[in-house]
Amino acid sequence: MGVNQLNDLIFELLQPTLPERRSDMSKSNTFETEQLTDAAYYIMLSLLTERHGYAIMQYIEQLTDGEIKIGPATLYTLLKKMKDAGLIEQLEGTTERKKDYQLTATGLDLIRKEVRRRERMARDGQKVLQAYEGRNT
Amino acid sequence: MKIKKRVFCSGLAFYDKEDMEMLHKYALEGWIFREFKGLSYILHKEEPQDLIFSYDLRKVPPEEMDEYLATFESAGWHPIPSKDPNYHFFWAKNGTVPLHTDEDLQSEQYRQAANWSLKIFLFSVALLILAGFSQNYIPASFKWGYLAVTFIAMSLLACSAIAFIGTYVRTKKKRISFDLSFKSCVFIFVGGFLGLIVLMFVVPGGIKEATYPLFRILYGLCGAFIGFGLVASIFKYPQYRDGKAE
Repeated sequence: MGVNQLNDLIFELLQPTLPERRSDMSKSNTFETEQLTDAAYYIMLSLLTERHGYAIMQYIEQLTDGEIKIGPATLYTLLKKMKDAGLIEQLEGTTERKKDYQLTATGLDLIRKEVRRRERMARDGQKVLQAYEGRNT
Repeated sequence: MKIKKRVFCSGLAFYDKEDMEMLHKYALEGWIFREFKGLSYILHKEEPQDLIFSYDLRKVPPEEMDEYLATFESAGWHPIPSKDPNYHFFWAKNGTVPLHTDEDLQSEQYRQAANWSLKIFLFSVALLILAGFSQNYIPASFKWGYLAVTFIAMSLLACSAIAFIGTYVRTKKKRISFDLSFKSCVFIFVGGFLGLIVLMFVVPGGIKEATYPLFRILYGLCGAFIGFGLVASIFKYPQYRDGKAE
């Protein structure tokens, strides 16, 4: 047994000692459960057009009137994860310092579903809230 | 007049927010964090500036370094030179969008450090077991070398255990904010020293004559307190002197 396997085994054994907070479930498995965090949602929206790192941050701030801001470390991590999950791709031929990214077909499919999901959630919310306000006025 | 000053890092896994806040206060007084070297922040004397600091733990492959730094630069976060390719410190003007806007993703970055400290821990355990088995076969001429190796392995064991606990807990999105004040470090040192003196009176002849295992353990404990207290006091002193820590 190599050191790496032994390492993994110890991590495995320690797993039950510190349960993760419930709310983290959807976050850590962002792409597997096909539910996006707000940051991931806006990054994917911005990549419907090809953009590089800084342009993504600027676009999101502009689109949301500064409501959603994404730090560079968070952006960098999410871009790497999305690339590994096959949701986005890096475009060839762009300069070293400014690499452009774009959604893949899988990514486009996911963001369509996600917009519909969020739309329905907002609609449900409105419906219940209107009924509540109707009862109380 | 001194133009550089060294302040030791308190251990990012345990005390990162407080350390970054401390660096902000230093910057307001004109001591700017400009280099990270030998587990410490090197502050340069400059004009007082309202700067904030942050860090990113990530192994960046050399071919991606340009893109990585460009992303941070364009967001207003400027790199601070560091010897270690796994740690990246940045400075920015106060009010810049934080480096990390998702704390959970930041916690995940400790996974690599936890992995490393666990490996070092396992290595030192193996070394100590080996030393235990071979102690009767060591030639007298190599006795000191043997003791030195054992001592180093024990220190490694203790450090890596602490580092592993801290980083592992961080990967679980929690933090043990473990920090000792300078005064308590001195207290530990003095306590160990006093304990040693008392022991010398109770057990005449010092550690060589201490045949009872209990006394040996007590001697060992006093030694550990003295060693830990001394090192920790030296590490904490610069912050205490500058009124940044108790």
